[in-house]
Amino acid sequence: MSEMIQKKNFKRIGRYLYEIPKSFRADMKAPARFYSSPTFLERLVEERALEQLVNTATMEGVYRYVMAMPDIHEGYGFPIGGVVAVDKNTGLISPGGVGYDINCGVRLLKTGITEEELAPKKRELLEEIFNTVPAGLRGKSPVRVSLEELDKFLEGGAVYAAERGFGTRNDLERIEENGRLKTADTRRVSDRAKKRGKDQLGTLGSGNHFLEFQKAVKIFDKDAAEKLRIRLDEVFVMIHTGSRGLGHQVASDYIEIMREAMKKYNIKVPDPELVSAPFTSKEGQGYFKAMSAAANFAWANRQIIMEMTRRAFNKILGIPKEQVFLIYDVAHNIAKVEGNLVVHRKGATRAFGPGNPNIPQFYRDIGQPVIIPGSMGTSSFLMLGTKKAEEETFGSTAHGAGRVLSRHKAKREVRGEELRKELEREGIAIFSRSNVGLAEEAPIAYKNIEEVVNITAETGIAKKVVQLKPIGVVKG
Amino acid sequence: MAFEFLEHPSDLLIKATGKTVEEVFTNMMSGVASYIGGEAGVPSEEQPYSIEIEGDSYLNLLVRFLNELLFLTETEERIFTRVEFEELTENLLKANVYGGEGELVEQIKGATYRSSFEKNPEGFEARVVFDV
Repeated sequence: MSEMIQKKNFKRIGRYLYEIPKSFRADMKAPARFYSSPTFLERLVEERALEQLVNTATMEGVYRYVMAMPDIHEGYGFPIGGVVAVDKNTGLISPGGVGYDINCGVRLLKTGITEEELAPKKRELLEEIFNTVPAGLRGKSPVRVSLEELDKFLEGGAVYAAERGFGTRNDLERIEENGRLKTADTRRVSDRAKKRGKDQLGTLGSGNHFLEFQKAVKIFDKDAAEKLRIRLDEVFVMIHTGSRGLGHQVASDYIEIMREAMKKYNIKVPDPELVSAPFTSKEGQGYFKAMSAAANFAWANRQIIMEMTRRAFNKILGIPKEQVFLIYDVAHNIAKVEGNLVVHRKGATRAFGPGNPNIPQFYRDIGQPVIIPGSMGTSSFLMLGTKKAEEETFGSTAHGAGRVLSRHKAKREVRGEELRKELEREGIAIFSRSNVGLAEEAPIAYKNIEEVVNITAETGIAKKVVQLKPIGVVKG
Repeated sequence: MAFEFLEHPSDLLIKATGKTVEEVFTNMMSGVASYIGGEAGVPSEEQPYSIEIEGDSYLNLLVRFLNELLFLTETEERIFTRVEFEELTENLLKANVYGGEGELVEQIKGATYRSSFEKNPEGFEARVVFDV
């Protein structure tokens, strides 16, 4: 392992933007840029994350520079928060540039009711969701699918889920890629991956995944909020989950396949975790098509969970299902072909600006909604993509808080039971079976989300619209 | 101790040691069982799962062996606590694993190649980072 990257190795090139020049290491093919603040930098230089970022800059076909968002932290191969674009004809694709949880992402729903209106039924409604949307290690899918039908979900994503009665066609345009990557090929997904995923559609899973009730506590952009029909005190539902065991198995399978492929294509990397293959090669295309199928699984997953949420709102509060309105759904672990580039976003969110033809007509004058989930018990933010992000970050921005404390340490420092009481005292109703799970996800284990959001807003790679505070949590 | 949980910033790191390669593999399996299972049940002796993996190194085999166990844990709902090796070389692993039904308290999604397998004066030592 090479020596740690120190402050003298990079220069500040913008208010919150730093660059490690190409000359820093002989094997770099492009500079490495990252967003940070003086506070975040203190910790960042002690981690391996910057070295991981520099490693990605050695990849064949890398375009302009590799980037990291302000929530950068150490990941597998690529740092989390990393954005790496490569030429689609000459570049490499890497499973490490997407992560194990393919299309982990966030979906935000507005409910049209205020916290006060929800209050008398809040616990009952959360309990209904807790009982119908499995979270954690137990609980089988609310959808029974055969292996044949699973292929339809893998091909059709949220589009097929809507056809199957989970949500409607009207939801689809407000999902990144309309909820379906057409590049999916189910033949590239192993039987093992399908076996792992078969009973996991419509489930939240464990770890940092959650379903939260939140309320709008601060509006930063009045015009955009008006356009989105968002009012202060309105209740929102945020769904944060991904492709579960299926996506994980796809990642594991192709890490093995690419370990072999690298010998064949004579690809040398500074870190064995950085497995990759030429995007145009059989193995590269195999991964891309399997990853696309896993991404579709994740969109179907969030679409189903949304429908279960709508049913619960209808059952407990009697409000029409369509009133629980999808604002947007973003992926934050994905690789996509955008123009002539393959853009890896690992812990980074697409943030296209106003006028971009890839975002729905309704949002075209304000920009694509960007959803930044906080850690459990802390604020989340609704932001908008910008032209500046398209120019400087391949249309990307941050994805969340970013972990600072290991799960192990968090468990040692926080008692789940006490944390549960503390959150309840703050008015956050907690529905989770596991105190251990709560401790691991304690707010102190994460970077300050407000600082992450402020850096992205001040550098102009996203625009703040609304701050949301949790009032109820469902998690594993 | 045959296995130990070490500090890792975002994931789970387990160290396992042993006098022989077999012991290290077995101890790593016990580390996994201890992390995911509160109380693993008695292994079902009638129903072993047979595993055969080819590879290019002990590290490669260890990662794939652990991923096989974790796959079976997720799909067959078993926690594995006993293993019999028929063959374990740098290129081939053949084994029967025995698991019991048990309650999972934590999830491990998979073993990664951010891992090592080395010879030391007492025998062998492996460190594996797991995605959780």
